[in-house]
Amino acid sequence: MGKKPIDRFTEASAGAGWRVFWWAVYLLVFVAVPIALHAYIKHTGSVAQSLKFILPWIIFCLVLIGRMIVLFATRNMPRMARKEATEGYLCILPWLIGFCSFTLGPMIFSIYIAMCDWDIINAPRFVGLANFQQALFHDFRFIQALKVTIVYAMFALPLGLIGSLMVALLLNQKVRGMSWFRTIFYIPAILPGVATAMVWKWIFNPENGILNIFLSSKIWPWLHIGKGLSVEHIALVNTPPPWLADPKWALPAFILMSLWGIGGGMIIYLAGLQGIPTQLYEAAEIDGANPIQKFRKITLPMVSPTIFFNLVMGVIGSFQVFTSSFVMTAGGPAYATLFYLLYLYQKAFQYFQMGYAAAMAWILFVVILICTLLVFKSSSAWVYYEGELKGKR
Amino acid sequence: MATIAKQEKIGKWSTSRLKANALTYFLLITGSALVLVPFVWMVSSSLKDPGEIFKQVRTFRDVFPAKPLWGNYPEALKFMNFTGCLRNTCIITFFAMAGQIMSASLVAFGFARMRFPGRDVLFIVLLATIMLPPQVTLIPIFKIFTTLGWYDTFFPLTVPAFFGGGVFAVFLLRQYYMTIPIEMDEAAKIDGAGTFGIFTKVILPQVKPALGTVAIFSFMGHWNDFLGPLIYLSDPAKRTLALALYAFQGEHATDWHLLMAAATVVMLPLLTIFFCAQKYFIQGVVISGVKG
Repeated sequence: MGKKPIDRFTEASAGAGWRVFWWAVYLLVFVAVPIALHAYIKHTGSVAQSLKFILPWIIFCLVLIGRMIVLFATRNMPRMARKEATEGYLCILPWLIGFCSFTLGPMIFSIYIAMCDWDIINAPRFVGLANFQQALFHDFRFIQALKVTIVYAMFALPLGLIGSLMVALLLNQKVRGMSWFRTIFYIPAILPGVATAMVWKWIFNPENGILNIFLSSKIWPWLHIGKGLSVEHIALVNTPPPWLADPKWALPAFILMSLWGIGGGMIIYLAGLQGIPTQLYEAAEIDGANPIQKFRKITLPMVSPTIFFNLVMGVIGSFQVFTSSFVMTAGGPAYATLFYLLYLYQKAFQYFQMGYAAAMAWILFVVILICTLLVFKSSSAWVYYEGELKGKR
Repeated sequence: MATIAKQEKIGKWSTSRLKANALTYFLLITGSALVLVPFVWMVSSSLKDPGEIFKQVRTFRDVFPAKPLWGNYPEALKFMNFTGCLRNTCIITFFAMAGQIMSASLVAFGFARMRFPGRDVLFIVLLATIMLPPQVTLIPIFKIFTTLGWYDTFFPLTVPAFFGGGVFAVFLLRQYYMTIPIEMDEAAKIDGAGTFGIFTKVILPQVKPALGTVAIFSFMGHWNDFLGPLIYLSDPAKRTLALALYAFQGEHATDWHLLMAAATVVMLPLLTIFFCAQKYFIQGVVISGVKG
């Protein structure tokens, strides 16, 4: 069948009658309705009051504009391809609507309010870059929040990456009952943040928490093997740290707690480890490689894409600490655990400085972007992709 | 068959094998113990009485309650209005899950199977939204929902799920769809199926495991969500479990036995689901992690 030349715009609706109909609709929606709405808004005197009349019209407008865009984008296509394309757009329509109304639109709006003084009730007052200036140069809490988050990331991220890789290596051994151990290690990653934060707050309790009970040795008699030692002699620490009550120890407590949840990264490593072909190890064994050489020359390069993935996710994730600090310390003591998002939340929903909070969100975005770009840039030096050497399949 | 193969590979319990793997087992058991200690501590604390909880622990025996006080549980549940919160959480989770599964599977189908101009660019845009911290759009979205009069309703927590269903879900399902041979679509097309017919009758039945994974992660995400309910819900009767647990902590800051009982109960549904559907959890992480 030969392709016939395509009649633009009328193909989908097929027929002169439909063409007239659509032009009438366009005329009505884009000309008549705005005039009517304008008159109505003037009559009621406020935009907010006539919102319920404006909204359906806006939605209808968007539908029509969308239809026009689709018709335009598919104007040179054969009939079947055009049908497929239209249906394709319909399939992704939920996401398109969601993207425009919950991501793109709010992003633009967010840029605007970041440059405003806004308490969400009164109208935003444009202040230019004052919010950014205030945050970066005059707000010690902001600097503190940034510092807390970065210090946390600098410790929790590498420890978590190495720890979860170690655990994954351990869980990749072929021994019986392994699925049970895998399950156990993964449990912490699935639990609600509020509940785990509360449990850890109780664990960190200076006098009655299990951690300090353990450290201060009062529990050690049951392990008392050496006869001549008194309880005090086997004390791990004589005066255990007060953890969340002390500015010096609060952040280390959070880092310690984050290590409990390494199961999430561990599972991803495990998948990466199981993707390594066993032939590589067999060949290395024939060549006389010892376990350390096998780890360094085979395992590490082969899981490096997984390390990369976990690193990128970890960078994003370590800036997202909120629930645990909100529940456990509310930022205290002395702002020692004032994580970035906690401060953002406080600014937005406790002080109602929406403009300032939006500015903070954008600063966070830039920080995350820079960190991720650095990771990406460095990746060519240490991430090994098998396809690169093999070339095309 | 499968079990036999597994047996051959790993072998049966034997002393020699145990000895060879002694170090592995030692590390595994130590690690698991460290992971489980918080749970043990939580449950044991939840069964103590208020006096016992602040008593100095002298021996190993003192870690556990002298006499388990099961009455803590009903008391804690009563204080945090458990049944009401459970109902709220179930409603929100159900609708958000349904929305996420429906929209994500459809959107992923569009990206995997249909050809239309701008598809690849749009897919990259979709993936790029992972990079955007949700806080950037938090305040504008809050404004949108309050303007719509949806403050203190469940709509802000469920409606967005119907529009797109999250990047990970779409990505994961698309990966799955791509593994189904396109010939199946074509065969169905020849048999007279429309696009929607192909989607519901050919594609969806084959990706049940992936849908299971998406469902479980969606469940976990919405059940555990804290910031959303914290921002949008103010009426105590509308609280979700996570929010109620937090509020409970504010009201009974030192009643650790009750707090731990409440935390245990809030964790239980997730633990149950996790143990029943472990396979889907692990599978989902593996696919999104390795292929991402």
